[in-house]
Amino acid sequence: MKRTAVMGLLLALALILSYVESLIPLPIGIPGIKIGLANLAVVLAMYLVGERNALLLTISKAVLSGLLFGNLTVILYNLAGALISFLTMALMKKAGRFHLPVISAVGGVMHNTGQLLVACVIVSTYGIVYYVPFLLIAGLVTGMVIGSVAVLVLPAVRKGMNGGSRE
Amino acid sequence: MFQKLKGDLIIVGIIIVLAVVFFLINLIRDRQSSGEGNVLVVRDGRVVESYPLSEDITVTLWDEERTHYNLLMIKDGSAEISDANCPDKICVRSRAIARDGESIICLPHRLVLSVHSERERDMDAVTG
Ligand SMILES: [Zn+2]
Repeated sequence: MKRTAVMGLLLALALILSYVESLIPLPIGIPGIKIGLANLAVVLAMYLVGERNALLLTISKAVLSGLLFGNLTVILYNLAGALISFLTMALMKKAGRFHLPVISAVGGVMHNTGQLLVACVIVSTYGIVYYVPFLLIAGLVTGMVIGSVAVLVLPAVRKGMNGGSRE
Repeated sequence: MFQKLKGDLIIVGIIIVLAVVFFLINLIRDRQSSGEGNVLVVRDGRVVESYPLSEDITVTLWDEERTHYNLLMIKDGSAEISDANCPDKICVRSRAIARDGESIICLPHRLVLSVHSERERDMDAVTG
């Protein structure tokens, strides 16, 4: 498989997971807070096609899912969490001192923290901080699960990418 | 391998400690305020309306062009958005708010509802 094909597949995966996420209601009055399923595509991209392509995927994911399930305000807003999350994960990967599930967990936590910070600017009250403990634990747990899934999936996909023609 | 494990544990530890600290802050704040005060309706950063939590009311919040609406429902001391014509419906799914500082944000409509109990805070903290 070529890189472009892998990128296409990952973007499709990201959008499907974004859709699934949008069906799972979180009883929190902050837009953009997610359980972080779509992060799986970004994590896989980081390890399969490199950081630069993963960044491209992160931005495409935020823009496209914003177009599909929101509007322009939502897109700009979603980019905040997506970019903070990506940056943290890329730095942690580069540091080489953490396992993938933990990197992915921090990515999940940082995504929601980013959304929370933007919400704080919009509302300008302390009130939102009320949700922080829940978001931290939720981001940690989903991130760990998704990171573990990535650890299991990565060898097979790598084999497929290098192996060539057969499925 | 072992070094990575150390890094992992530090990070997970930090996240858990932060969660506990914020949880304790919430516990303290919960004692100070309960379901009283006002729900402020903020549109594009300005307070446009205020409703007391003590009175049950259902009111449709329209924007200036009367194209976007959010249905605000106050019942038994807590407020929620029971319907809206925004694309994502995040505000409708949001849990009812009652404690000081709790908010519901409808980003597509640039609308914020937040609870403010007068005892703790003055109006200038919101408008300023
Ligand atoms: Zn809404």
